[in-house]
Amino acid sequence: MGRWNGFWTRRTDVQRVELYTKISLYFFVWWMSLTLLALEPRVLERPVSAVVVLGVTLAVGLAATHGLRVTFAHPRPRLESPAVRRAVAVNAVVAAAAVAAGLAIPADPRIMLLAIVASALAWGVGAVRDRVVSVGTGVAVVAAGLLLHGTNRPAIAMAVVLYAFFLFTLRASLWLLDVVTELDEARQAQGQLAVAEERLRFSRDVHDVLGRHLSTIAVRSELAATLAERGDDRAAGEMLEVRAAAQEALREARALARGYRRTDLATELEGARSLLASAGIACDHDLTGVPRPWHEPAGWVIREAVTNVLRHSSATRVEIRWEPGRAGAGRLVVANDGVGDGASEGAAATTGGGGSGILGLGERLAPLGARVETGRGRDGFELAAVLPAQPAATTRPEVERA
Amino acid sequence: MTIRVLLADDENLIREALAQMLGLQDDIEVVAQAASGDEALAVALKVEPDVAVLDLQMPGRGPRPLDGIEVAEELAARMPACSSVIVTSHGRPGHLKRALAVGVRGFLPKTTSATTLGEVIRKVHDGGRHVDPELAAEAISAGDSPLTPREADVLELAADGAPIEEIARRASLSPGTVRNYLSSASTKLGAANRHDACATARRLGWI
Repeated sequence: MGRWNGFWTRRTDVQRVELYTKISLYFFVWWMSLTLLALEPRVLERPVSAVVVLGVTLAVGLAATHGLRVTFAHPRPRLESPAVRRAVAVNAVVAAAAVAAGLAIPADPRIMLLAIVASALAWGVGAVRDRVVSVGTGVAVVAAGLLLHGTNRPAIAMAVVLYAFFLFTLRASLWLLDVVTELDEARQAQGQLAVAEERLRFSRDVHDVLGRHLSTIAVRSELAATLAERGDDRAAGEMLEVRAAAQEALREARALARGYRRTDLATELEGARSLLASAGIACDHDLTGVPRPWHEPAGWVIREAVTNVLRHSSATRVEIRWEPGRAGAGRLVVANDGVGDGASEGAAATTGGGGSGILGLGERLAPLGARVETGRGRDGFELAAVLPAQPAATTRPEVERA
Repeated sequence: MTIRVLLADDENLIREALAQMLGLQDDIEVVAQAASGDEALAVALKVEPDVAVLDLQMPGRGPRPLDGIEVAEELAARMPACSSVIVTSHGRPGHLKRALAVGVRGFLPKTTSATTLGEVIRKVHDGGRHVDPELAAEAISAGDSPLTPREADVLELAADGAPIEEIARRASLSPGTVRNYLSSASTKLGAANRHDACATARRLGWI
C-alpha cells in the first residue's frame, strides 16, 4: 500500500503529467482496436477472418507499443537514430504483412482490418519528425485501402481520417508534455536565480552591517584599552560605547536574518493569540472594520500591548477589540483582566527596555494623529489607541521597531 | 537574603563575564556554572538554586544534548521552587512560545546588560514574568505556525540535510510517514521542496 502511495505521491507534478500522458497513449493503442472488435463481433464469426483479424490486431498493437516506447525514449524522434529507424521498419513490415493477410478474408472484415492498421501506424510512427515518414504512412494507408477495398471510397476515407486524427492526438499530447516540462524548467531556473540574487543581497548586507560595526568595535576598544592603561577615567565610557555598537550590530544582524518580512494584521493577531496561549493566557480578538491605512499602526499597538501583558500582568485573558467611531475613526482597545498592575505600573514599565514601551508607542503614533490611552476599563487594565479617520502622515513601512 | 543563581552557557567567556557582573550585585550570588544542558540539570539538582539562567542553545556530548528550554522543563517538574530564565542570541519566535509553554518566566536576548539581567532575576524570583519586548514583538509578527508539532519535528530533523531513512529512524516513524509529514509541511509553507520548506520555517522561527 505504501509502495502504491509513493508511486503517485513521490512524483513531481511534471512527472505526473508525463506518467499520465504515457499511460493514456499506451491505453489508446489497444483500446481503439478492441473497441472496433467489440462493436462488430460479426467479423469474428468465420474462423479464417477471426484468426486474421485477431492476429493482425495483436501484431500491429505490439508494433505500435514498441514504436511508442521508442518515441518516449527519444523526445523528438528522427530517422537518424537507429532505434527510431528500427521501430519504423518494424511497424512498416508488420503493417505490410497485415495488409497481405487481409487479402485472404472477405470484404466486410477488411474494413475493420484497415482501420486497425491505420490507427496502429499513427501511434507507432506518428511522432517521427521526418516528413517522409508521416506523409509516406498516409500514402501507404491509401494504397492499402485501394488494395483491400478497391472502389469502397468511404472506407478508405475513414481509414485516412482515423490515421490523421490519431497522428494529431499523439503529436498534441507530446507537445503538451514538452510545454509542461519546459515551463517547469523555466520555473526552476527562475527560483534558482531568485535564490542567487537573495544570497548576493544578503552577503552584501552582512558585510555592510557587520563590517561597519566591527570596525567601530575594534577601534574604540583599542582606544579604551589605551585609556585604561593610562588610568584615564574615559575608558569606562569608551567601553560602554563599544557595548552599544555590539548591541546595535546584533540587532541589525537579527533584522537581516529575519529578512524584509512584512506581515498583515491578521497574521499579527494570530501571532499574538498563539504567543499568549503559550503563556496560558486566553485571547479574544476581533478587529473587523479597522480601516486599511491603520492596519500597520494597529500591528504596533498589538505588539506593544501584548508584550506588556506578558511582562507585567497576571492576566488570564486578553481582549483585542475595535470600537468604531465616526467616519472610519475609532478606538483599538487591548484589555486584560490582570490585577495589581494599574495604569501607573503600565506607564512606569515604559522606561525599561531602552525607551520602548507605551511611551515609545505614543511617540510613534503621534505623527499620525493618533494617541494612546491607558487606564482601568470595564474588566481590568486597558490600553487604547485612539485613531482618527485617516493617518495624518504616510506610514513608513520600513520602520520596524518593536 | 541573597538569590542563589545557576548560570549555564556553553560560551565560557560570556558565562564568566556574566557571573562576575552578577556577583557584583549585593543580593545575587552565582552558586554554580555549567557549560551544557545536561551538566546544568545535574548541577541544579545538586545545589538547588533559586533561579537558573539558561542559554537556549548549548551543544553537548551525546546524540541529543538538552537545550535550555528542555532543562527548564525538567527543572519545573523536579524542582518547582527554582525559576528559569532563558537567554539567547538567536531568539526565534517558536522558542519563546515553547519556553512560555513549559513555564519559563524570563526570556531575554544575550545582549541584555548585567544590570537588567539582575533585575529580571529578582522579578522572576518574586514570581513575576519578564519577556524581552523585541523578541515578543517578533513572535507576534511571525503569526501562528501552521505546522503541527510532528511536522515541525520532522522538518527540524530534515533541516541538516539528513536523508528520509535517517529522519525516520531518529523520529521513530516509518519512512512513508516522514515523507507525508514533509510533503504536508512543504505544502503548508508553499515551498517547492523540503530544503526550501526548512529554510522558510527557520526564517519564520517555526522550527
